[in-house]
Amino acid sequence: MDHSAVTSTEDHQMDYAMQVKNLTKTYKDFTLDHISLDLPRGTVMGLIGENGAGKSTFINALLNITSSQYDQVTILGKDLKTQENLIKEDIAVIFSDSHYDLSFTPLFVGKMLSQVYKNWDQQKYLDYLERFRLPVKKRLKKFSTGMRVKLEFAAALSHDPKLLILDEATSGLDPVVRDEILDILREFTEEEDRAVLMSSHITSDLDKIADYIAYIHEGKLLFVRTYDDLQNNYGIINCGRQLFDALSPDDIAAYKKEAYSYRVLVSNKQKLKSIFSDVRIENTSIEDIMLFYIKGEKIR
Amino acid sequence: MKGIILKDLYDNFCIPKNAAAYIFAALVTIPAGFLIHSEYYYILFSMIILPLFGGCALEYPTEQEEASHFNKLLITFPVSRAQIVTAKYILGLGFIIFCNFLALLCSMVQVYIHHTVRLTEALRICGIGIGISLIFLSVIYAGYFLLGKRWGTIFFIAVTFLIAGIYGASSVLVGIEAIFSLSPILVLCLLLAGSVMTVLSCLVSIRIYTWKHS
Repeated sequence: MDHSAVTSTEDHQMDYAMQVKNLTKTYKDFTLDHISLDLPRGTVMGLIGENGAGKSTFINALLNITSSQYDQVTILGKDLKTQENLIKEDIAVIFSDSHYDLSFTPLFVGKMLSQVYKNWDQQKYLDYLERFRLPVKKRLKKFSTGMRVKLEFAAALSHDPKLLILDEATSGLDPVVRDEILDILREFTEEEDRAVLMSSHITSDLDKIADYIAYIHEGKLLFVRTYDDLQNNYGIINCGRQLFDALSPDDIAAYKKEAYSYRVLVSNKQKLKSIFSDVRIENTSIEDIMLFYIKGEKIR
Repeated sequence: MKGIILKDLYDNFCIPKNAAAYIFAALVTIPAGFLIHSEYYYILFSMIILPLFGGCALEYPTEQEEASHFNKLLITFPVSRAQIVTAKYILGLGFIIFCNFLALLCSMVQVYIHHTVRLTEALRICGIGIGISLIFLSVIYAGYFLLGKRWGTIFFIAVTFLIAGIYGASSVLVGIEAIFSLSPILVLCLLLAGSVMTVLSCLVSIRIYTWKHS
């Protein structure tokens, strides 16, 4: 587990939108196992992992939707155990499986939330509705999926949250709407005191926007790395047995044996480039890394 | 909490099918309460029909919340679970106040226009009606929080039939005169019991809600 890119005990708590230490949630058949990670302000962290890996459990535990055990969870400098309501004034969450009632109208959602959040800015909300071309008096059941998600973003962003948590919020959307959503997220993180934690199966979205990637696999945090670090250090080599044997096991994150060759995910691209200058090392995407970790073999 | 109360009001009255159900129920029961010169219907109206409306305040919001899994989103709002549950009880009490105000108006009509009952008897009926409203609310709300919309509604119907059965049986066995001559102390005890049960029910519902959403 590598947290070095993110964690620094010397940094002040306020530099982080979120700090989690040893968060554990145990079910009969699944354990989210001692997750520790820090999310710096002004950044976007993508949470990746296959279905059932524990991403949603982690998010639910962070929000105290589900009970969990932890040494420390600090969100926006406040302790989750003692200041939960204060924290929730400054965060916004969008889920894929929990929505506003389809009988609501955007206008009513605004009225309701104006009674919920102290910082609610109705004008800002109406501006978002106008920008997203959402009719204010139409019931949500007459909206398309994309329109509903945009409404949830409008509602989420209108109380000036400092941390936006998205749990598969863009799943089911077409590329055009997803691209609009990514623009909103870029705009949101332009201010340095804000941050986004985003779990998504659509890793290409994370390639476009994430500053950090946290990878959860079977309830365990495999790594938290900066996106640049992943790009600079991870690569794929297609090679034969001879080169495969020549590689140091420390540099091989995972590999797949194919009919006449090996596809190797290496975790030290720069060093290998200097050693094997004539070997072509492909750039990787987040999806490649994920698939190698799940489906590839490891050298013990 | 105001936001949650506003949402529940919307679920009850701004969704056409729910609003239609309220309008239908009101049209069927309320005019008769004011127009019919009958002790039996007056008692039925003030002590059973109107108190049942208090329990209705939770039915439609529970239905809507279950359909959209809204509770998960609700928990991310800056309100505690206790506040969420308390907001729903406050709305239920609001319904009770409104319904018992209607019962009081009906009583005045029965006392001064139809001369069906005397004022002291009418006030006694109103007191019993408030007590039954509170007891009904406390039982039904805990049922909805525990059982959800589907089984909660079945529970609601079962409790309604039980109360109606008790009323029917007591009318036959004891006679409604017994209700008119009920001691004011007993009426006060009923009110006290209703109040205590409502508080206990709210505390139990908070525990149930926390257990179900943790």
